[in-house]
Amino acid sequence: MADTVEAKRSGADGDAGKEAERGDELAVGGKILRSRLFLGTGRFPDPLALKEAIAASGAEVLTFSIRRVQLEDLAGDAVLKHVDHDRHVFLPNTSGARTAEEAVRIARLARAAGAGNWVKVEISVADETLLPDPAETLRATELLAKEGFAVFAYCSDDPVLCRRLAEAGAAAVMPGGSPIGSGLGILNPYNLALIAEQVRVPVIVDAGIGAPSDAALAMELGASAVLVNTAVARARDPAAMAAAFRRAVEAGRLARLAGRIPKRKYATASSGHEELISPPYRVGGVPL
Amino acid sequence: MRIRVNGNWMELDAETVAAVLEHFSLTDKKVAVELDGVVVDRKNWADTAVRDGAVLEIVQFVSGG
Repeated sequence: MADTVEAKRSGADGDAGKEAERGDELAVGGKILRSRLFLGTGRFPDPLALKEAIAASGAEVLTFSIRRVQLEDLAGDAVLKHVDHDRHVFLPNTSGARTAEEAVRIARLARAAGAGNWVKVEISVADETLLPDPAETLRATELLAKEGFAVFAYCSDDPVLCRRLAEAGAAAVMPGGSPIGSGLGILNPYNLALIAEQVRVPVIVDAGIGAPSDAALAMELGASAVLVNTAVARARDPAAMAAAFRRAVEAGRLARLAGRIPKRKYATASSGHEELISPPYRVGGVPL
Repeated sequence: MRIRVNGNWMELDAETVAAVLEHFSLTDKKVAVELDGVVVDRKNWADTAVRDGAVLEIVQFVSGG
């Protein structure tokens, strides 16, 4: 059903949006992407829900984890059956790593398993918040960039750290809006805007996105892309939510390119004051 | 021959990495193999010997963010 809704709406959107987006591709990690929405594949209720959400999201980049094969249950995780290898780019993460060395080990395995040279460095020792370890993340980024990996560094929303990661060779930085899976959105829009302004590599907001409005805000603040997982996977209707995120990311990107107005303290009339049919009044009804 | 695969010690008569994978019907799956801490690329599976006491990790992609 979601596919039908999707098809109708993309037709109804007309060509104006498509025109505006033409030539607005994202170059990252040696690839050119048309979609600025990355989708995580975890926590979906079932493989079919994931498949429908992937289609509705329009995402080209999908994230995965690397785990031991369950030797006694080879049918285990059938997630890859629903992924079109030609149409999607694999972004394996190093979740579970607690040190730079562990992240390097997982990255090498992911590459050997056929994921290409992309890797999302994800190193955490903070079990309650899953916040990334900045020192180990920076070290892993250096090590993996030297080995020829396109490193997508999941990190805290610290502008200085993001610059250091870019200098260390990261293909993209992935500052979190808030802790993974929390749905708290962009807790520090000021930092995120600074990162987007100051870091030379693409900024992909990862983690904590709860609703499409969060994704739109991230894009309006200057992010190059957004990675969403739990907000789609745990929605009541994942495919419909994926479609909503697709539009939100597009809207936020268009708004960024269009240039939002500055915030002002007082009103500015959007209807002109000239030639009013009645003169302006002071409070209390006394003519000026 | 006694080897450890994904944390479990087992008796297995498999002389090469390729033979271990064949035993578990994983040859055609999208998996990666680490032998004693070093990744063995698919093209080298058939030529890489597995000795008694070897420690193997066989991993795959699973869903995740």
